[in-house]
Amino acid sequence: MRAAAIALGILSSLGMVLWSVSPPEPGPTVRFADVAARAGITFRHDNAASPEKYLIETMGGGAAWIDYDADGFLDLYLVNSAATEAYRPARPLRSALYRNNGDGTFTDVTLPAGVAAEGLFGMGVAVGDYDNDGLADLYVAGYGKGILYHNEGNGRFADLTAKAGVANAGKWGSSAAWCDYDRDGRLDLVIVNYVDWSVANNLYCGERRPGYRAYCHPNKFRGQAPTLFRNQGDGTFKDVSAASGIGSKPGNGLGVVCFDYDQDGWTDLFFANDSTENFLYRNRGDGTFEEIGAVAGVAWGENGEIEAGMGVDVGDYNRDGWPDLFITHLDLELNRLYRHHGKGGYEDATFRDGPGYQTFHLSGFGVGFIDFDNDGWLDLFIANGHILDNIHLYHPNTTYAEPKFVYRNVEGKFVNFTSRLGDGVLRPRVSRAAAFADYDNDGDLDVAVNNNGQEAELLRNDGGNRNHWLQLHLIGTRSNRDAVGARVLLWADGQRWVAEKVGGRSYQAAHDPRLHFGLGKRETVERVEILWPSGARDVIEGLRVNQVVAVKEGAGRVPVAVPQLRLRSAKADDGP
Amino acid sequence: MKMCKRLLKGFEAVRCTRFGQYWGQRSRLRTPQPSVGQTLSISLRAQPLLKATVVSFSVAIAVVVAQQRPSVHREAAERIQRGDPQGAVALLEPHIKGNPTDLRAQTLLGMALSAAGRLSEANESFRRVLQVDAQFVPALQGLALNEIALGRTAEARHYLEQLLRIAPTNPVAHLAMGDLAYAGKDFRSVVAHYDRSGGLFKTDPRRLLNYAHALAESNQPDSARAALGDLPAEAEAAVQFEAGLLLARLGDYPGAARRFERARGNYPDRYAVEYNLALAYEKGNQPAEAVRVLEHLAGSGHNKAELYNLLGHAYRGAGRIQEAYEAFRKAATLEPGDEANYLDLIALCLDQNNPDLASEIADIGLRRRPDSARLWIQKGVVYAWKGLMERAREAFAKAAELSKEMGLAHVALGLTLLQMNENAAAIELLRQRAQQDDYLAQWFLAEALYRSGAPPGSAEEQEAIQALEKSVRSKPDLAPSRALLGKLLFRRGDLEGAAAQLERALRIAPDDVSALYQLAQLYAKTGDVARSRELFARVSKMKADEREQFTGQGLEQIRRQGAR
Repeated sequence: MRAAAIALGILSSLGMVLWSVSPPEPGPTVRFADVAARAGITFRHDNAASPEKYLIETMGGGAAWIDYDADGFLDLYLVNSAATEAYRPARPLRSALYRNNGDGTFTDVTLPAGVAAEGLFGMGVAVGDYDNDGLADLYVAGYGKGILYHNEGNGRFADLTAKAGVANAGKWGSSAAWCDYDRDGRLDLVIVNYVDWSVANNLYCGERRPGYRAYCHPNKFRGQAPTLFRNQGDGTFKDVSAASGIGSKPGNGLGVVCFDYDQDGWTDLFFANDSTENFLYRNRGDGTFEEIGAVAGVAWGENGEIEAGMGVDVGDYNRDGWPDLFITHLDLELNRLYRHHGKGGYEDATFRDGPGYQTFHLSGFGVGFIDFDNDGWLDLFIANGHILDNIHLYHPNTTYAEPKFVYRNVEGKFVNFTSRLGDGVLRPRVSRAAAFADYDNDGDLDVAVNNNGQEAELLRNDGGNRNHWLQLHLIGTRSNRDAVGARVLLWADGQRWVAEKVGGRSYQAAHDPRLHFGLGKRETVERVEILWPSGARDVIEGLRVNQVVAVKEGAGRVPVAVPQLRLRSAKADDGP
Repeated sequence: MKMCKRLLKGFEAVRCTRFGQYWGQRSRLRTPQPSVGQTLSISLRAQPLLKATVVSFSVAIAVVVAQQRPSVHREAAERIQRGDPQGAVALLEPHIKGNPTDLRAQTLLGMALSAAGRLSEANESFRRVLQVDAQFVPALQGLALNEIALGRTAEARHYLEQLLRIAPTNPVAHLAMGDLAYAGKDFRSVVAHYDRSGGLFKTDPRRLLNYAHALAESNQPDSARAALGDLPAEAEAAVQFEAGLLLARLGDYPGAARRFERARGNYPDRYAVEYNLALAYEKGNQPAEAVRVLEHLAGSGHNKAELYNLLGHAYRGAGRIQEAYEAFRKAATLEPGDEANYLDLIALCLDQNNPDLASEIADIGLRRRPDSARLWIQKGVVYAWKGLMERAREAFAKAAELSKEMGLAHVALGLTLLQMNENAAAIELLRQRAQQDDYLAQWFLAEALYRSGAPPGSAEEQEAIQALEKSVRSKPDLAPSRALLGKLLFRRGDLEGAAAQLERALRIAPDDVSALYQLAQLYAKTGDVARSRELFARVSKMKADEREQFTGQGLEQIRRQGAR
């Protein structure tokens, strides 16, 4: 009873902060319903919380969409932690792989698939077909080591970490991404590392009063530089962190995204760092990188503020053809929107086009530029949750669990739309990873969220498909098979969209491998142009909307089986 | 992921103002009574002949005698110079009776009478000379100096101007004109005349001090500091003390401390000189020295709130946090009605991440001083710190109501509204306040307009720029206003204007990260790669240093023991 009263109080105070002032704009009727339980996703993350307040307890676990059995339905992988010296769970902690049954339900196939990652204090996860065999592989980053799971094609994975040489031993890997930085047609692996915390150097932080012990600031520890593993094409990787320059600067890394920021054809790397400057590594095209975050205007906030960079995403929110950046931060900081100004750098557009102070009292982690209502403009979805489980003792109006936040993009300006999207978004959670995908193949983007120490959420998008859409499934041949780094230009009704198949995104997450375009009420797509990482170009003209189109490098459009969800036809009427 | 950095963005300005950046300094230097200017004007009236006047008479005597045959003139001159003016009078009066047209003898008589303190009679002699020869410089000079000594400044100025028309480079006349100008607080004229006095003013430490003071008042702080460098170490304690005051005013705290140290032995008000010495040490980033002096003062039986307040600051500077807390508490105990002591305690608690204790102290202070707008502001800051924005708004509103002239309360209220997403209300509030020519409100009005998303070229952006232009006109040394103005100009493509503002902001505040970062980006855009890289590197280093400092820093908590 008391808990309910507290929860009500929390919700009402949050409501006051979030919505009392700026009533939502009129817009589409879309709901995000949490269907995890009904879908059979019973995963509950265990953050190994202990009185010792180990920093690793704050991080959460990753979430990844992966069609591991290549049946056309995306399956879901959720990362868990492990026992520590201060926390001994009754049963071993496991990560989980849920097979999408194609009927709105999932089946836990973790053990037969062999991806439990027991003993690994897991963090982020990346999905990529690193050996170009047509099957999606998994890399799970974690504290002290990571695991490479090779998809054997028979429903099972094999741990090839040692053989591949990608253990990232001794580092605290937070997020990871697959991308082909050297354009040799093979996916390389980039891991963003956090700090050198260990049980041995754990500190007491916070007030010395019962209940007030707090997790330490990361700057109490030394930062770690990112790791770059080059795919040598024989199943092994070479650590080129030093040679490439990626490992030259330590940072408290949490988020990573690989994208071609200057559109010179070479994949660049962006790292969101927690309380140190962000890094933007420009790819020189010769196997080395130059760190230009400051010059490009994304190292700090617009006034040189260092903020707690968590999640990051890339998208052309204002449809000027250039990739913009959005970075989530802690409460009492700003979530930053960086607008690409087309001249090699960025302008901080947080106030001009972005959220400004609206999320000032929330701590953002997972984030995505997703067009949730398919109106043709990239919206923003942010998964929030505070770091300190006792934050209410320090800040009475701040809570550990927080609602998610969604901004609708109204022709290049973001408008708070949160209150219109239903309980799935509003219910406070300690959210971390947010992974975006159309898991039910109905044409709108859904969200899986892994919550720190809580049940995972599967937020099904109901109503986003009232507008038209197109999804592109790109298959590289000379380029890496996943087509990471491919750039797509799409024209519909005389208007143009530009998107890139990027690596990484969000926080500790992996997403729908298909490129998704919302098209509003447009009925046809006149032209799609694909610029492959290899330099090849494919053009397809005259496409119907509301379909998934597969394009193979050099071959053009190819047939693809996109199964429809069985049993359910009108999701919008199927309430939570 | 931090729990230590709890301060709301933008509220730094509100907090920083605590120590007087915008309100005026809390810890004030103790000054002698009367003040420097008053002292000089009194001395001009009270002392018939200053040392420099004697010097000037000696020069005049030499001029008069040099043209004489060996005679009564030479003998009279020697008697004056020997300090026997009455002997000279006795010699000259019979001579003049027999030689009434001997203007030189008449002039020497005036000088002798002046030296004997018989100024009116002396002036009679000088006037008799001038009736015959109106341009006889020694007589004119003597008359003018005596008029000064008699306090008849208008007459003195008349004769000195007459003298300078005849002899424009006359150093004594310029010296005297400088004295008159100082008494009249015409500081530019002081500098101009002393500069033409052939360095005569330097022979008198008091005049040298006045010269430096005049330079400072004429916006020549560097020259003022340099002039004080010529002040002899053996100058009297009062002069050393006042030099210390002036140096402190000029921001040269180490120099001020040296002067106060020299005054320390002989200055009659020992408390004043040692308090000032400690303050100079504290302001000059020598907190340990300040602590040493203040502990000595406190140990000598001085039980004053201001002393313990300063001791609190010194302890804090020296990293002795708990002692700082106790010292501020003692100050508050001694003067419970003085809001400043509570404000310092609150600031200390917030610095040490202890908002709960800060809140308790604010409540105690407000019980004593419910009318204190500044305490309400700090209470609001504590609320904002704790994320209680509605209460913060109420506290700031109360502060604004209590002190309509205090712009800070309105600014804090505006900032709170902004952070509560009440942009329109924030803008309206700040707009009204800005109309009262409040440079803080003008700055934050611009911030509010900018943070509301005013795009380049919009009317709102133009209003923001105009507000900032007014702000920097009212307060030219307000670096944040200039930095924001530079940013807006940069954004709208006025690179030259932006660079000028940002460079100026950096000159005012070399560590202003916002200005540094904007300027680095600006130079990157204009192709000045070297300068751009240098500035980026500075930002990077500052951030790295901050991190390094933070990594090594222990989290010290203030004990509540004894907190009331």
